[in-house]
Amino acid sequence: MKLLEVKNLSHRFKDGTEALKNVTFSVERGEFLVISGKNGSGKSVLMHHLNGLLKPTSGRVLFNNQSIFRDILSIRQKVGLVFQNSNSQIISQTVEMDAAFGPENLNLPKAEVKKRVNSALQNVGLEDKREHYTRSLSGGEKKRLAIAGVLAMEPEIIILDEPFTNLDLPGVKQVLKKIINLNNNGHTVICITHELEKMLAHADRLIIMDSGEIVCDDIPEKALISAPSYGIRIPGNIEKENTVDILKRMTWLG
Amino acid sequence: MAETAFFRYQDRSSFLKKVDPRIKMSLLLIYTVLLYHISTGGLILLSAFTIFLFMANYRIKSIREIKGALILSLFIGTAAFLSSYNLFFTILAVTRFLMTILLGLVLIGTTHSGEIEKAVYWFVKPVPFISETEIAMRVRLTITFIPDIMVTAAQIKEAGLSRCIQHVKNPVRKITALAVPLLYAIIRRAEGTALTMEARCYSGTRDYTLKQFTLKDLLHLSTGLAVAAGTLLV
Ligand SMILES: Nc1ncnc2c1ncn2[C@@H]1O[C@H](COP(=O)(O)OP(=O)(O)OP(=O)(O)O)[C@@H](O)[C@H]1O
Ligand SMILES: [Mg+2]
Repeated sequence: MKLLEVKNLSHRFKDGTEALKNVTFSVERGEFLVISGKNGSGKSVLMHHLNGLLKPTSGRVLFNNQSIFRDILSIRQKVGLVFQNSNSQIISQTVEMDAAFGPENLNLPKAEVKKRVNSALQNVGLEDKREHYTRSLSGGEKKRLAIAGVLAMEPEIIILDEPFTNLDLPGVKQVLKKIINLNNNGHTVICITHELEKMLAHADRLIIMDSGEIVCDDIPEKALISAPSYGIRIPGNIEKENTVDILKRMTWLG
Repeated sequence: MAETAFFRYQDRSSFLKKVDPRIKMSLLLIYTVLLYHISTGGLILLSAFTIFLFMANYRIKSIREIKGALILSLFIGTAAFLSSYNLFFTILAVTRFLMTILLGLVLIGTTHSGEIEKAVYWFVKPVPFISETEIAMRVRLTITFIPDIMVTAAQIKEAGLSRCIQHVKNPVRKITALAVPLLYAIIRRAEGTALTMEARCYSGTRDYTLKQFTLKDLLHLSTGLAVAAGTLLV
């Protein structure tokens, strides 16, 4: 079943930059999709369209077969975004208060907010730091807090923009495990990253973007073949090796 | 490196954290007004009380944290002395300024921005023609970002130093080299935050209710007022 559908989406900024050109794809419920592409290829701009933070110049975004602009507030609860920069996502002083920010905006009863905050913090392993000052968290902890803030809204789909930037090996492992875990529990996940070698082995599908266009949309072992020609590094040589074998190595877990 | 977070919420438990934010804010206002209107004896008493509150509730991690405040008080001291040639007057002026800062730190250090937001909403609600939700959120964001802005300023300064800004003789250029990127960073930061707030469903219809006042709150308020009265009587 199609959960999210993007149809002929284009976006032109006021200064004339054509950041998205006729982008069309859809995401199945429960899928783990990876979107990749080099710097400036339009990944983040695309993400901002998926819950209506940016309005398309032309084209449409559908959630459960309905335009997202019909009830944008409920869409923002269902489509959770984890931004590239966790510093701007965190807007409260303590871990607990920040995780509560979203649920409070949904006007949930206090007990429900508390329940969700507890389970979200537990989910990302921050329950012992609930009283901590958010500015003094490490990069990986901030990223996990940003994820917790989204989880507490109980979204149906989670979209992460470059979740691994600035993370060390244990940090990448933590966040990656979390993402896989969410997907196994039935969440639909879209992960935007150019660091494919860290996690592609776990994905169901790979979309590659280049200059605002989708240039490849396929299962990872097939999509990998064209990755190097669009400036995405992969750990192996596609001329000498089978992509299935390369794909197996593309994880930082284990 | 540039971790000079001044005006920060203290992540440890303290008595003042349990006091209602409306009471803390009212008392802060009263004390600040008193600082500038009471007798010298009263000022000594109020300063002692302020320093006590500060020591009990706020921990300074390094002297760099309060460098800014110290430099400012030096300025104020110099200005006061030059205008009066009176050492006693100068000491009073500097004391008043420092105590104002300390009181602010005590409030910020023990009150979460979310609580200040609710308290501001409560204070502003009866005033007609202005949007209490907007003002409350703005105050909250400002408080949250003061430490960030300071850190950013320090980073920009270091970035300038690492690229030899100290060789520049023109003072205007020296100042713009810091101010322009800082302003830009603040605007960028505000834009990013507005976007993420929207993504996190902020729409100004949050629950702003604070706990009902209890006897305990009355006790806190009257203790605070008793101190204020005490400084007036001295
Ligand atoms: N507000 C804006 N105004 C004008 N152009 C913009 C704006 N935001 C993004 N762009 C342009 O749109 C294009 C796509 O940017 P986007 O941020 O989506 O890239 P990205 O694929 O996420 O890159 P990165 O890997 O660096 O995060 C870029 O050419 C960028 O310069
Ligand atoms: Mg991006």
